[in-house]
Amino acid sequence: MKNFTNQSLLLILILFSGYGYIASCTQDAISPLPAAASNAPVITRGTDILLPKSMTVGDTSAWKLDKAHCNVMWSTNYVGAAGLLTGRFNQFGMHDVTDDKMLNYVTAGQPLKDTSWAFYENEPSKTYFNGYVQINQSNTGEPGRDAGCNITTLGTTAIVAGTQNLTVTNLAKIKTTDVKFDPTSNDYIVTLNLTWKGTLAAPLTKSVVGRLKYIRRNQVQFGTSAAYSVFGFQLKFQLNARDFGIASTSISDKVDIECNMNFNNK
Amino acid sequence: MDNSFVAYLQLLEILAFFSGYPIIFLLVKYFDQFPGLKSITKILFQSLPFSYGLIGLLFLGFEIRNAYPEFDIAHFQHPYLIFWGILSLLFLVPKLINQSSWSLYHSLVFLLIMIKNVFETYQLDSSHSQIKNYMNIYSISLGFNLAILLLAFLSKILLQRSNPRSDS
Repeated sequence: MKNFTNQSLLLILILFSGYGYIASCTQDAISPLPAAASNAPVITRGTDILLPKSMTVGDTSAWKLDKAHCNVMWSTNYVGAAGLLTGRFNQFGMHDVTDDKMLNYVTAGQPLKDTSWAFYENEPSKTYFNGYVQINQSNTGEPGRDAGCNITTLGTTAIVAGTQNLTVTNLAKIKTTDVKFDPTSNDYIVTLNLTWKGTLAAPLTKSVVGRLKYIRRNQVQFGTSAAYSVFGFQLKFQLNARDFGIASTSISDKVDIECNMNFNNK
Repeated sequence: MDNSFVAYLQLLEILAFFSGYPIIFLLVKYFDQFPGLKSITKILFQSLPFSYGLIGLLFLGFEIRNAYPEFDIAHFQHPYLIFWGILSLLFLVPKLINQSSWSLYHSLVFLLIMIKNVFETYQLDSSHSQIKNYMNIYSISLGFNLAILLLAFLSKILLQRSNPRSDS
């Protein structure tokens, strides 16, 4: 009887062991895993077409550069090895300044209409930009630097009050040669011709590549004023100051440029 | 975070020591009925309580190592089960060393806990990963108990050869 009990217990334990090992080797049917999340960037592009036309006031289809709310900034490492030196250009515009327009303009406002651009959100091949800055209008917030070493270092001439100096010594300009979609974001990759004389004998044109961000148009309305629309561009690129004969050791070879342009259709 | 995971790990540790003993015991008992194997199974059967006591000794050492250096009772998530396991040291006491059935009853407590847990988790854990854990522990325990039994068996044979009059 005792043997029978022992053998029964042994049988139970063997059965349990078998059950345990079989159960541990199986698993319930698992519902299929959900599809893996896509790593592709979410890119949405609209069909906005934005043109300056003749910049007629009141024409809501004509987009005007709101210069008072724009800036063109530069930054470079101080002595090429320290923190950033930064500044902005007080005078700039979006016009294709051809040789015949490289003059001194006696005016406090924009010397040329900001009409040399077009933006097609979904057709970058049709998009183009022209822009310029007046080099002697670099503003670091340190008058001694702006009116002093900057003028000689950058090979230009001092500011003449009431005059917009678009002559060859004081003009740096960009002109797009290619605009295409950035495959990794909503931005655009822009190839530009940068023309600047610097301290060279004649202006030099270098091709640079930048990134253009379109800040989508929106309608705004304040108080009882009529509603209007705005949009923005942000363009970033880099240039090598040494290419243009800038020998100052205070600034690094590489200078970053950031243009923040705002437009409205008032 | 509560201590449930620590408690689970500590339970697996305890089961690793003792849960394999019953089936080893019953297998030896089963083969003991074959006359051809009698000479071996007799010594094996006599070695069982001693081997179980040895396992208890190793278990005590393991728990002391785990408790070092704080020796805080709060560290132990299953104090009663640990105490029950340490009681297996009694099978090293000469008066109990021949009580092989008691060692079976003692170790069945651990095996029953394992069986209960395996059946409970079967429905809850669709991947059966916990059952895999238990069965891995069970396999380790089988091997461990078998190894200790063989050690006890060899010790007994050596003892008998060095002292032929020794019978127990």
